[in-house]
Amino acid sequence: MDEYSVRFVAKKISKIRWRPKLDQKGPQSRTFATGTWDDQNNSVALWQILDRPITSENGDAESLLVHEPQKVFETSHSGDVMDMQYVNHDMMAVASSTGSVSLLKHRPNTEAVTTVCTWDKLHQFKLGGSAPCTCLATRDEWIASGGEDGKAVLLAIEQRTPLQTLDKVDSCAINDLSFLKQSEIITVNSFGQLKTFDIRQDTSKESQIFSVTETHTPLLCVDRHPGQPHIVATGGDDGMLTIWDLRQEKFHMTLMEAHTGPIWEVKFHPLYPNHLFTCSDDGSLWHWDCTACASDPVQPFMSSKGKSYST
Amino acid sequence: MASSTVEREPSEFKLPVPNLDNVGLNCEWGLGQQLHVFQTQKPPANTSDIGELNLGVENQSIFDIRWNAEMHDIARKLVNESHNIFVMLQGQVKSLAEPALDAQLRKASKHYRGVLKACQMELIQLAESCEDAARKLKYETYIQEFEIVQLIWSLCQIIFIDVAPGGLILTALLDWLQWHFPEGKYLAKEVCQEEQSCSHPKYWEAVFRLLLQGNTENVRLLLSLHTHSQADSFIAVDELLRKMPHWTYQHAQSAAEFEMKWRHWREECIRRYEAGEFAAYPELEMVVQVLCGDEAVFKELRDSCETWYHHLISKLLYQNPTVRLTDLTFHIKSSQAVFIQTGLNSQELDNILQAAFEFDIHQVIKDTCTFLSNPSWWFVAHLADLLHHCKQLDPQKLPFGSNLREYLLLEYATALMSHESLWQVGVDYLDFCSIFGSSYLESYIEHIPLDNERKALKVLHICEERKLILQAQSVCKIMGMKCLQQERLGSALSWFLRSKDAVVIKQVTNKFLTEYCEQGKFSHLDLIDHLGPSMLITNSLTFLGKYREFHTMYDKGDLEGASSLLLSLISSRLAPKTFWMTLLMDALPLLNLPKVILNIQQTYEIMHCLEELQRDGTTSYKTLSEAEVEKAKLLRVALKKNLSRAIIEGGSIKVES
Repeated sequence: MDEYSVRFVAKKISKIRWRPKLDQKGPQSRTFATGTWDDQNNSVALWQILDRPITSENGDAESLLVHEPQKVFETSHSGDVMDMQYVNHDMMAVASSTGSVSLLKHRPNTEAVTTVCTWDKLHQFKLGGSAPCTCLATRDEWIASGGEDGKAVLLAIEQRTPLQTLDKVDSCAINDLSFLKQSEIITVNSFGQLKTFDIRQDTSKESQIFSVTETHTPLLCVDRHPGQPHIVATGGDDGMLTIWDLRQEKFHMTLMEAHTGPIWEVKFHPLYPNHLFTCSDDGSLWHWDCTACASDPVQPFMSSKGKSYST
Repeated sequence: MASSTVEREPSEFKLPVPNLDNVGLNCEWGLGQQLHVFQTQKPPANTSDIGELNLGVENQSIFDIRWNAEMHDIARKLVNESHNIFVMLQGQVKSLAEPALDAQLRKASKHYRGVLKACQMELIQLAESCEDAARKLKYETYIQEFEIVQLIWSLCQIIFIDVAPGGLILTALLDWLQWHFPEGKYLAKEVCQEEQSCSHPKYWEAVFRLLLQGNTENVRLLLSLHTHSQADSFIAVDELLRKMPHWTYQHAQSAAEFEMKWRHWREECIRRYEAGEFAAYPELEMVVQVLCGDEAVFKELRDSCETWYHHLISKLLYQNPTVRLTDLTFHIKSSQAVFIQTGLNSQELDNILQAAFEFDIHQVIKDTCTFLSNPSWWFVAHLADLLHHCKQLDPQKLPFGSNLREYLLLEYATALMSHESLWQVGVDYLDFCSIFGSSYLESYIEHIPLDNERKALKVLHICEERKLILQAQSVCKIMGMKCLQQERLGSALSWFLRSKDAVVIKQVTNKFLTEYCEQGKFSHLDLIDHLGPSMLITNSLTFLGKYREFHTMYDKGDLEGASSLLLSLISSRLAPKTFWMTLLMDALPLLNLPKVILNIQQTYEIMHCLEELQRDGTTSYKTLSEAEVEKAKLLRVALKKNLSRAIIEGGSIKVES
């Protein structure tokens, strides 16, 4: 798609997620959700891409289609939207800076979503006071959340009480987490570390700690290779993209200088895992083609500040 | 801020506080247009006494006062979208030379107007679908405001930015009329839909309105719908209208050539009118009178013109179509005189437009500032920026140090910085204020609330990008102190490491050590074990890291290494005095080993340290508990034993060698 459609919004968007397809072979998803941050009244909104035919400038009879996102629904959200993840086709988990996680469900035959369940105060500081919930990861019916309090909580979508609370995941803030396998999660923190945990075993101890650099630049995001769970990509506050091989003890990572600002999100393409996407505070979205395992960014796309992209 | 607000009425707020004799109000700047007001002693007490301030009031509150901070969603869209245009334009100003830049400036002006129009349309849609009367009214005021802004902007574009070659501007002004006074077009549409158009009560009004905007094509169309359109008079008018020469840029005709044609045409109009060709139809006669440029008929058609500036342009179209931009001023008075009694239009808007017609751009900007309410800075700041780059603004410094463009941009940026969400946009505007931008930013950025780590990182990045080192450090320090107060030592350390501030790092490491003394083990091992070279940032951190390393070595059974590390820790005196006892006690197991590890010198070193601690009256040695005193005694015994063993061993080694 060469052409793009720009739409200005009144609020700052922190996260954007495509609604997953109902079945793998179905048509491309045309709905996505956005969450806002840093506002008095934050919101979660749903958008739909509408095709609008236009006649091209030279008066061609053949009309072109413009894909225009149209806001179809908006609901208020208390606190900044820190992360959003779809659990399945219908349900989406939203993390809030108030430390709670809520589960939203698409209502059939309408464009609306309603809150099914809210886990309040999942994340709290030791001396009281809510801690922002910074990240979410989903796998099957499970949701894992991480917070600035250094705790990770495991939730199941049909249970009010958390399945498991991992108290001592981190001494500082967890910035992102992801499932490696059903029972293994990976977290990145503000101290520049990457940790893996096996949730079946003694959860007070991480099984592996990796550090990127000696400067302890915060790692902000992590994503797992869809096919090979031992390969993960992380993005740092300094704009560095790191690819890790968790099997190897030494020389386990490749550092790539990428953005000039913090990388807010990194994603592998779910079907073509050789393609990687990063988005940054510097306003750009990069598409990395790792087919030849090269580090050249294929094409820096410009996008507006603070926006993120996901596949 | 003061110079433009003096002209406004000061507004008065009453704070709900008791009026006491010795209590006054004091305030502290918040973020931009925000004040924190609180009660204080009167007269102001010494700063040193503030701790004992007794106001006689309980539950003192701090009032948060803001002004002009409210912004509706559509205005925010406008802010975001125009920000894009602004930033792009600033880049082009830097990189492009004259002719190409002019084109870009014109384009930018059109973009701004396009954005305004789009926002206005959205507001109209909102207003239409709105059911709440009060909100609808609000929307309508916004729409009105957008309309005024566009009216002024497009006129300024014609006069100052998009200056037509040769100075002939009537065509551009007619476009302006058609764009902002669409009433004629709407009427014509309504009339056309009627089965018998000419019996519509507004038929002639539609004709005149279109005629006054020079829209001859549509006038002919309307006239052809008249039942008598086949009458001679109608055919004659149609012919005159068809023949009317129009000035366009495309036609390669000189102004003189056009003027000749036009004079010729007008003579024909006058001739036929005087011959009484149209006397049968009074309205038709009036149409021809307009074509002849008859002074009296324009007075009569005043209401179809709505405003004096419409009147002015309509009249010039039929009296002097080759009028130059510079000559416009001479015609203003007579048109205004026609409208003087009506008092329909807002005086302020009239003044602004008049100033534009008179080329007084400073007056335009000044009046607009005071006339428009919020978000007035948006308009003047962007317009002034454009005009500045078009070299239409006096680049001269204002008495307070910057030029007009920067002054207005600063005002606009201040308004943005006061907004809880748009402050990021404000930062970009400040970047392009070369004189005061950075100092404004310095003071604003320190007031941005740091709600969570992600936001703090954003603010930090803004500081780092602009080399605001002090502010960047302050962000780290504020975040770190917050964590420290919540006893989140790990996070505190990660923030303090970024600011590389030895004093605060020491606070954290001391807490770690205290925790160790109390609990006998370290928490936060994931950090302490992985400090790496950061350890060298300050002594306290080095000590912490090395001390932990000592434990790891000891646990692994590397006793030699552990003891020499411990000794160097003791002799370096890096540890806080309160920790010395713990450090010395760590030597105890090393002294009691079957094998002598610490030699004479090393044993002396430890003894020396113990002595120093004991002699030092100020330290916590005296406050040690019974058990600890007991331990110290044990240590002495062990030291003595070890010393004797070391002497024996040392001696024997000597003999051997």
